[in-house]
Amino acid sequence: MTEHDRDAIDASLRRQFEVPNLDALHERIEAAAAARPTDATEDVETEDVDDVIRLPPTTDPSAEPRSGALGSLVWVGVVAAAAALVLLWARPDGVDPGTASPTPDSGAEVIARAPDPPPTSHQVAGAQLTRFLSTAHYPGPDYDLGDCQSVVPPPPNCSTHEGAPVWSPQPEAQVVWECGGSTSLNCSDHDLPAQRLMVVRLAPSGPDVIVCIEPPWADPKPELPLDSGYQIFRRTLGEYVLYEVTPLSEPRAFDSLSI
Amino acid sequence: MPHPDPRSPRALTPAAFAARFRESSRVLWCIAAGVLGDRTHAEDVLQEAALTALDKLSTFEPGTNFEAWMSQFVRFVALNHRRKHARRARALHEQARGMADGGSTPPSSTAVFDAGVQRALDTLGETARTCLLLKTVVEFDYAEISTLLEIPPGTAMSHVSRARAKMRELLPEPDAPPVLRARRAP
Repeated sequence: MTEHDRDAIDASLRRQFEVPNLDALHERIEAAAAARPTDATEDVETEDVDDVIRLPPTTDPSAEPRSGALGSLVWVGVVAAAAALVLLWARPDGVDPGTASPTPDSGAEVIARAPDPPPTSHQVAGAQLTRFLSTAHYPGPDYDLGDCQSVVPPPPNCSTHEGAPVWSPQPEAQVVWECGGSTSLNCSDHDLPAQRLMVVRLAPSGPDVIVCIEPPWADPKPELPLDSGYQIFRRTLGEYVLYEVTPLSEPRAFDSLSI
Repeated sequence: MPHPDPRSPRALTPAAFAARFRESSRVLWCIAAGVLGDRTHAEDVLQEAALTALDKLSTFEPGTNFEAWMSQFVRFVALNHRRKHARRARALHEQARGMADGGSTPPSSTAVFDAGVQRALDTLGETARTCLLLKTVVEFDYAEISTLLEIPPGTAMSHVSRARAKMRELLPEPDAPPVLRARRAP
């Protein structure tokens, strides 16, 4: 191999694997780190994601632990939820996501194998997110759900002239995970159909709530089953539609968003 | 075992972790991309690895190399991700290849070459791919790669050399006219 060959390969690799701006990631990790007790000496118990997604979602929100551990684990919950949602949204058989069962068929086997442990905080968060998304009705797949900047030309109702909602950090509410928006994470990569989604930890002891930020053309108009134990609150902000999914009786995260 | 790191005299606090992570994220991203074989999910993997590591801070041995410790989480999460998403990734890859091969606008020679490099990269093993990216993208020397991936420096060098040679065999002539590239094709 000549030096020219080697240089050409190396140059191609540098072009294709240029490290992206990771500032948003740093901020999220710093927020997560800030949530941990500084003098913690014990590791937080986490479960293998495989095990988490095999367990059935809880239907009893009263079982949700209201402790600091909830916040520290919600990130894992989102990962678990995202993994679980692959089952819901992959739809190889053409099942409409709006009518798909939120519980994988393999759940029965798992219930028999692990029926006793109470739901962990990240299972609760995952179940919350799953229920929300399984009842949301997004535009059909024929319409590009990419953000406005990725669609050329932008759809006519894809207006961003007012600017996008911005999260203002507050002690009582911290974003612990986010996709879409200014992050480099694409929600669809997690099989999350939302344009922008945040998991917000409410201080001091939780719970965690989910905030979705949608342009009006992607308003999913979700509804939850009456027995879900969660509430959905809707608010408009400029041209955007905000949803907060929460076990509380009032939205607590909306006020941190502004344009 | 990770080599001693004089910058870590005490146990890692969450805040110190975040600071060290910020310093190391570029290298760790490269490891994630190397194991995955593409850049699409590298940041996702990095996040998951960081959060997992945050919950396991007590496993960090003060005085050892933070990047080497962290790279274990990154590689583990990336391998898991690759295993879980291999099927989907193959489908997307084929789709992308179809777009590159069958588009109405002829792709540039650079785009064709890059696509070939990506395909050739996919044929390498995770370790070889990671060694190659650490060498080319972040310009690590073999000793640094050795420390990060916990392999002998000679092995790192061998991985890079063989990876380049194998990729070269699979690639069209860089900057060659299309007719010559066609003649090289089997």
